[in-house]
Amino acid sequence: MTFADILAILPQQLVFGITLGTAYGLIAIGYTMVYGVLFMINFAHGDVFMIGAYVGWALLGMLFASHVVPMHPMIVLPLLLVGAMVMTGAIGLLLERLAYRPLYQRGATRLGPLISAVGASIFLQNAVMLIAGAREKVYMTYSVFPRTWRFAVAGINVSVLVIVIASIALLMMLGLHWLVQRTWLGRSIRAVAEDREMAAVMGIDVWRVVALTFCIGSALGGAAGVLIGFYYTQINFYMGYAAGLKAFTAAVLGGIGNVRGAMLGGLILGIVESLAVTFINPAFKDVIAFVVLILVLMFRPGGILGEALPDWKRV
Amino acid sequence: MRKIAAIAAVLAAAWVLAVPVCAQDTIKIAAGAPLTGPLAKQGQEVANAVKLAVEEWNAKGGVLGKKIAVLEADDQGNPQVGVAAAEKVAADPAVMGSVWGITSVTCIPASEVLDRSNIVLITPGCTNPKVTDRGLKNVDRVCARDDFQAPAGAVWLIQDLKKKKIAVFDDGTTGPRGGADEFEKKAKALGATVLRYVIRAGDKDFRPILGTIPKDADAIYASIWAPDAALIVKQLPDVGLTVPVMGPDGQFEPVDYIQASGGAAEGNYVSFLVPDVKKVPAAQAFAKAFEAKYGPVSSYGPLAYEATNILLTAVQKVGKPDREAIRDAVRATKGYQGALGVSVTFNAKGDVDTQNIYIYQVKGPDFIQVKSLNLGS
Repeated sequence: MTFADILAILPQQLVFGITLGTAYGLIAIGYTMVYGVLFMINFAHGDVFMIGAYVGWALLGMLFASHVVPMHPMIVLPLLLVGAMVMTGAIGLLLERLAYRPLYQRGATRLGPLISAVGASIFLQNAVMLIAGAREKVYMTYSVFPRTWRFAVAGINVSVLVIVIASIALLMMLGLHWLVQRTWLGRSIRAVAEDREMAAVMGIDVWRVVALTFCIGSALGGAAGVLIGFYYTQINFYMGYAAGLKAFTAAVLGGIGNVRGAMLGGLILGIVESLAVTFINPAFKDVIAFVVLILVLMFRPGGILGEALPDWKRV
Repeated sequence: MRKIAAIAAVLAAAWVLAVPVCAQDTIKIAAGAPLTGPLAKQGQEVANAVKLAVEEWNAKGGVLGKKIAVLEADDQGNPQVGVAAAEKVAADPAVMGSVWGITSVTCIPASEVLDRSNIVLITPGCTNPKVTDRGLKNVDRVCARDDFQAPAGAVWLIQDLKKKKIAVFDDGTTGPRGGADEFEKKAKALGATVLRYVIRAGDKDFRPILGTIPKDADAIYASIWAPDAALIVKQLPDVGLTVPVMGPDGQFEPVDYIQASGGAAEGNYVSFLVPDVKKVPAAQAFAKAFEAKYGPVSSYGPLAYEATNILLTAVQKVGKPDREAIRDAVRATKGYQGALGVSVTFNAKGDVDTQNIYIYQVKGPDFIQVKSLNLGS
């Protein structure tokens, strides 16, 4: 490929990278929020994302079969997103209540909940496999977003789907940012992240805040599941592993515990991946993504925007 | 203790001796295939086709003056289960041969077990070259080999469709990578330009890779499995490419390819090992009989039927229930005129000397045969 060829396809690759990046960012928020309040990596988060994709798929199938509502994105997408977010939010609450809180309340060290998270991840994957079957499930993306809904700007193919995905993901991230910075709940979350004991002394119900953090992070992961489901058009019960790993990387890249960092990390990772495919053998795209992570951490150990953690919590 | 051992020995001896006595009035043919699990539909078709052939022979009085029975062996498409099933088959002295398998991973170990008991194995659907390349005397294959499918694809795209610049995809695993290599070799020999791309099986977003295909490429050969191929054809419009996509038999999947693509696979090509029975005049009797009993023919049934008939013809020719002689008689099959309208001759390795590959095109929810290619082996 000549330089001119590469230059010609670059804008197109950027569009793909940004779409994927916003979705990575949305999943990464779940990791980062939980890490912020509990100082723990919730390895089951990727599987919560996967369940979101499955709930969306099931709802889409039901809507399609029932003919109650027209298959228009303005109607279908909110229904799917709300359904998936309610379900994954509930699963987030359950995970916190059953898999993590009992350990913390019995004075677990950092390792216990981590193992518990890995176990929860395996449990969720297998539960979905047993309920829905091992076969790949297909999102009927083109019955909601017709194939003709696309346009070309200066040689770049852009579909309505891509715009919708990126804008929903961005809106959700902005909403979360507002919630964390401007509301009472957000202030409690920040207080718990800062110093759990002191927050409790100040009258904050710490475990309620932790549970809500899990719930919000999981719901955003579930929403990302629906969006990615539409974008990938095929989902399976083990998709949470790869996506979770990428999103976790994005969270670390941006600065773990830092909500804005997660968004930025996701975007950078998505773009780096699609550019890696352009310039180098596609088989190496993950290698490139992790090389970038290592380089960033070498020069900025706290991630690009830095960890939003109080000093005593830094590793 | 010694007494118990003695009784056990006597019982064991009685059992061993008793089995041949019971077995004398029937001859058994083993039908090995995944009868349960995700490949059950294709596997059941193999078993049903074997049963149909056996019923027809029994109606004519069986073979060697005995009735024929079918011994079903479920390999679940899993090598360990396949070995256990093959051991069960080998332990039955009435078994005179087997029609086995649609997955090479089970065919290969099962054939090694059966080889120790000199039981012949004719496969209607195991396409890996290794199945017959191991020099086993007991393995014969009525379908084409993998290494002929990709070249057939190249012939179709370049000679028939006049394509000149072809993007070739594989997923980096042994089988698909081998297919892509064979395709490249043949395509270059036919004068086309080949560009190679590797995807990772299980990835869902191929848009960035598809975006690097030059806009003047006029076809894609996708040496990958059906779910990945469905994704590629769906995502092609996102990068502004409208070219035909062709793939090997792994994409001969109405659900995982055509349905999963949501209409995007329309007009694409897939090579397959079995002809469309509707297109073969000689196969009409088989197609009707099969459909009346087991429903429409959709995959390996015709070849399993053919294999069973070749096996029973060999048994008849040998004239006695001698596994070794039957094994050699199957290998010696020459110019056998079967139900599919092509003559079957096995070469020294056990492969058919004319490798028949059938090109299908996606039309609506079905695959329609558009060409049959015969390549000498």
